[in-house]
Amino acid sequence: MRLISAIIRHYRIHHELRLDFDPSRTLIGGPNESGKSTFIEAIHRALFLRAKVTGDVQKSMVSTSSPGAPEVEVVFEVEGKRYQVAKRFSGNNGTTRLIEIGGATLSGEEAETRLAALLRVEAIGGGRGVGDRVVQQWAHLWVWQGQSGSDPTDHATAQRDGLLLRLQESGGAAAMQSALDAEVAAHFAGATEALFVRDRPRAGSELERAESATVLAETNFSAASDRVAKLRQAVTDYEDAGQVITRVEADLRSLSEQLSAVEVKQGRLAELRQQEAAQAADFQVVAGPCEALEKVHTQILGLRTRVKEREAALAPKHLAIDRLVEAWSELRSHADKAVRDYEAACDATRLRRLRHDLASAWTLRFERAARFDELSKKATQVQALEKSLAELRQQLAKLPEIDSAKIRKLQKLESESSRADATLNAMAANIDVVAAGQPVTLAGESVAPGESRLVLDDSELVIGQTTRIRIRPGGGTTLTEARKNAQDARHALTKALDAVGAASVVVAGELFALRVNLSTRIEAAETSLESLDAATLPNMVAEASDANAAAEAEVARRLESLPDFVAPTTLAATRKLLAEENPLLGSAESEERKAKSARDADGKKSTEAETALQEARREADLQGRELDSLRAQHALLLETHGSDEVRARQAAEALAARTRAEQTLSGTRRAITELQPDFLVSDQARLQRALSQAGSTKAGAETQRAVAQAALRSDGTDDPQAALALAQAQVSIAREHLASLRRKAAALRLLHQLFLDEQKALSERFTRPLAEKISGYLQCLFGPAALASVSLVENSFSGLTVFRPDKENGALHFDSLSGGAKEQVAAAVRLALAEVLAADHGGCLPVVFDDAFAYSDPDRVQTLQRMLDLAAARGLQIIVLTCTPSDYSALGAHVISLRAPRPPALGAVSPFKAADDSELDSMDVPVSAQVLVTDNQRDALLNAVQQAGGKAGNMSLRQGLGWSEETYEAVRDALVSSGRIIPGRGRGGSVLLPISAS
Amino acid sequence: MITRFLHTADWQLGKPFAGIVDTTKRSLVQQQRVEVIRRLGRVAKDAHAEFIVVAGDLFDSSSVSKSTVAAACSAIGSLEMPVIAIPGNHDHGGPGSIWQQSYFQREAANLAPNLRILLAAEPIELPTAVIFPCPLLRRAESADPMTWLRSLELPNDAYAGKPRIVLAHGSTQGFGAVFDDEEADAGASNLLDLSRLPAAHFDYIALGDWHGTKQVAANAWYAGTPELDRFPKGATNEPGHCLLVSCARGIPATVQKITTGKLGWHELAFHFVDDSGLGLFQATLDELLGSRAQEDLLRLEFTGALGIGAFNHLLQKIESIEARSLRLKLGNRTIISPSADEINALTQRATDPLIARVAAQLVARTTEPGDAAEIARLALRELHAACNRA
Repeated sequence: MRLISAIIRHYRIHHELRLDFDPSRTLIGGPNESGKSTFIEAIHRALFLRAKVTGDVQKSMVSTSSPGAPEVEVVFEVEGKRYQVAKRFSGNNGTTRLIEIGGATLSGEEAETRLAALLRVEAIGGGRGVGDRVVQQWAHLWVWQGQSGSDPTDHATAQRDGLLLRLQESGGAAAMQSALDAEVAAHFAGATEALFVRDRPRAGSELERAESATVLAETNFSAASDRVAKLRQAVTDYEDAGQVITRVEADLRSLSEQLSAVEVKQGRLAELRQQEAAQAADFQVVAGPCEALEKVHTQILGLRTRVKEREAALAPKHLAIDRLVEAWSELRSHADKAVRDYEAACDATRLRRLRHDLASAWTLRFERAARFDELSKKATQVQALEKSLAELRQQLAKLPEIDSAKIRKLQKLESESSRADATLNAMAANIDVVAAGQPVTLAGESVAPGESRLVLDDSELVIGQTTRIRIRPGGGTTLTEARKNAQDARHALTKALDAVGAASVVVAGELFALRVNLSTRIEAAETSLESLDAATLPNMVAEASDANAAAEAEVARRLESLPDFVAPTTLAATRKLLAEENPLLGSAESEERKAKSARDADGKKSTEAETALQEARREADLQGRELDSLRAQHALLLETHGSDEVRARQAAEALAARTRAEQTLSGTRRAITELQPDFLVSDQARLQRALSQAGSTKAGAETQRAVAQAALRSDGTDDPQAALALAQAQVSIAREHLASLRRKAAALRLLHQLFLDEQKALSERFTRPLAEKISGYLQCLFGPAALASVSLVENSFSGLTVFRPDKENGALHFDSLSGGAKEQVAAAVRLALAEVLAADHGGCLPVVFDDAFAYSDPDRVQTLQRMLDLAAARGLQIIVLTCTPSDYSALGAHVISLRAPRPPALGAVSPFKAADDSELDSMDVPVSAQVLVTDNQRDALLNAVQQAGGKAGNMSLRQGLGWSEETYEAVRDALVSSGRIIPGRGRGGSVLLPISAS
Repeated sequence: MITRFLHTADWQLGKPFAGIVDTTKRSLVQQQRVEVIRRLGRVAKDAHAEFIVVAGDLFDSSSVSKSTVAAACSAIGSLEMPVIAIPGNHDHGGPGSIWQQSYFQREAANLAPNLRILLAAEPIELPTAVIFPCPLLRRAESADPMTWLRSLELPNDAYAGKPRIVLAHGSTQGFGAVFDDEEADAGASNLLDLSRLPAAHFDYIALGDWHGTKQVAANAWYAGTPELDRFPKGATNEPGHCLLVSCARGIPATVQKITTGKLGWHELAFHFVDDSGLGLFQATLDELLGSRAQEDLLRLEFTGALGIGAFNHLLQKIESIEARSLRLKLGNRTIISPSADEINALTQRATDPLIARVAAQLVARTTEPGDAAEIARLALRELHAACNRA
């Protein structure tokens, strides 16, 4: 079936409009409210709605501007024949005319029927809901505006019979399930459902009842088993208790006997203990003296032993003392001899020393004597020197103190005096002492014989003591002057001479020379004296004298000790002697030292020996005293207690008595020991305890036996053994029944599952051609790997699934697709359905897409065209209605542009006026002067309404969008006309989203 | 002195026969255990027996119900001759035994004054014989209950030369409850060592416990149970008898086996080679049961394979056998092996592609190992039924 052309008149906004369809691709473009949808709806109604339709549906078609009833003429082609259907929707007067071009013309019901047959639909008639029903006709081919995203499998199901027929043909061997198949499958589905709920046995089902019965039977069996086990346990308990009682009774007898025996022994023990006490007292009585005697005897024996021990200990000590005495006396004699030797050595040394000392003394004496002599000689020398010095000093002293100056003065004076004297001298007398028996003194001055003196003044010459001669030189007055001069000179000389004590200047000169000579001699003498230590010499002499005297005394003294000492005569002899004596003295002293050492050593030994001896003696004495004491004690004891014999007799008697008592006592004690008194007590306690325990064991066992007996005492109302056997049998039967049911249930489930599996397989096989066709279209959109599958389950198509290997999520059910993808996939399915079904319609069917890709993005719209083109190439007639025809420019379709219809001219009403210029533009005519509405603008307004909560005022929306009134109204009207928003109320008007869209 | 008596044992009155689900049938079988006592009485009377010895297990348990006790005492009382019994392992004389139960004692005194239960191992002198009882005083006696007989001083002229009869219950060299599947808890107890008895001292040893009639020594016999109580084990096991014994001191006893059992306990194993086996089985069964009803207990073991239709017929037959017999113990391991026609009828259904495909899958599964094959066979049968029903 292919649409060829259509004319509509007085149909809603359309006054009159005629369109010719391309056999394959027609694109009807036009702005909103240009009547695209209205036009395509009019064609649909001409095909599927009875002309005599009334009510709202009819009214909705009536033109708003032209007065005539709506009329639609459609020319179409089926199986190579052309038909024209013309319908006038004027209510009950509506007319239908079907003209087969070149053939019959039908009208009325006949035409309607024929039309339905041609279109292979069931006539829908009229009446209530016809509007909804008519939309369902060819709904799989007719994508009504806003329906593009609905699940297309619903349409497939609606076209099931035709589709299945075609699919069966194209599927080859594939066969549909038969009624019997369905019935049997339903039978097993029902049976399985009756048995199971989600893999669990259904409550109340036979299987569940069998399971419960099995559990119950098992519980009963368990209870019956327990009961029988308890009975058996009771038997065991009874027997055990009986055995225990038997054993315990035997134990009780034995224990009682043992206890009696113990008690008898205890009686005997008490008696024995009394006897023991009495016998012990007796024993004490006799044991006393015996013990005393024994004690004394022991004491005596002890003392004896000790005496013997001490004696034995002393004997060697005495021997040792003897040996010590002997040793000491020997050592002492040695010591004595050493003393003597030493003394002899001392004597020898003394003699030697005496001799040596004497020799020394002699030597000293000689040396001292020599020194004394030497010093004496020195003293003599000193005396001589001193004497001469004294003399010299006397001489010097006697000489006037003339020095060279005085000499020179004197010489001068003398010269003056001499001259005066010479004058005078002529008058002076000279006196020469030629010889003198007596000292001659002139003027008091001695004049030695041979000396001559000039006398110038009255001078007294004294010879001896008795002759005095006055000499008066020159005598007078000439003399006086001369004299005086001489005198004066003389006087001066004299005075000078007097001053120096010289008599004359010669004398003075002589005196001076003498004085110098004397001084020199004095100095020499003083030097000699000094060299002779004159000052210390007298002391040294005195000392030497004393020393000499001492040395002499020493020698003399020492000589007394050595009367026979031959005195040496010289120092040398002495020294020789001393040299001889020195070594002798040394050896003597050495001998003496040796002797002294020997003496000391021996003395020490002797002393030590003596000390040892004394110590030994002291010890011996001490022990001897102890021994004496012990002997005394021993003797005292013997005296007190009698002799050994006496005591022995007494002891024997006492011992005999004691032995008798002891034997008696020990006999008793043995008897007690044999009774093992400690054990008797513990035995009694033990046996009593054991008896008590055995008694309670017996009581317990008796209780146990009574309990067991009670449990066993059957009243015969039922038989536990039989109950157990029955319970066991019932468990077996229940289990067997359950197993059988389970097997049967498993078989039913298996059948059900197999039927399901096979139904699915069959469906897949059946729907494969359809799926392949869908896949073919999808591949235009999503690439070569895209696949579709669709199932036929229980005669319904469902499970449309798209596989897109390019997407991560792979297989996607139709419902999970996005709005855009839904449109596209739905379109693919419709095309596939149309392709399959076209076979019934002469190989072609129109497929109408009215604004069917509103959610698809422009890129996808481009690829869509490939799909649409493929469908057209496969023989379908593709009709696309869009307000954006430029989007489909690549389809290569015959393009028809609609513009908004103008109201018809008043009175210009012509029902069947030929289509001319009214609403039809050719491609080369500008579309309209209307404002072009873009998709972006549509989306912007829709978004704004959505954001406002699905409802908003026109004013606020327009201001919010910042659009001019013209633009806003154009966009709003476009959305209103496409049903995406609904005009609302309110001041200034409002818009709201339809419920489904919001 | 010659004495003549009836030797019987293992009456096991009150046996529950729990395997019989139908209570009426179970009662019938239980009733037969009492009825056989009356038959024993007739045999004894006919043979002029002086007394009857029951070698243990008179009752099935120590806790049998009052009605069992009453029925037993009534039946025993009807025998009109001394009935001398010892306790066996089922009705041992130990604690809680039936013999000490006051109800039993009352009933016995009232209804069966001729019954004498020997609970002590001591000789009982009868007018014409001496009984040496070996009673079991517990379920499982580890010592030989006949031990006491070994050391008895029994001069030849003791008891006036009356024949000496030992009455014992237990196993001897391969016979006895120990070797019986139904007596799982018997254990290695109650063992009788006949070889250790001074043979010359005793003239007849009346044994109980082994349910088949069996001579186990020159003068020792198991009487067996007089009425079968289980499917017999092997052809040599001959239950359902009592023994009529004549004996005198020092002379070999004369023993006569007399059939007393009434119920048929049959075991039948049948292997189906193909569907024709069903007819063969029917013939065998007819031969076995004749026209009898409610007198037989059957143990059927089916193996082999049958087609679906034949299998359904077998099930119908089983149903009818079950109704006709007192008990059907069935082991049906017959494999459902659809015939070629049956398989074709399911798999070659051009018009019913689903059924055909499912059937083909099931047929394929019947060769799988384990349960899967059995389930598949059952499923085939169900599918077959579903198709035929529709």
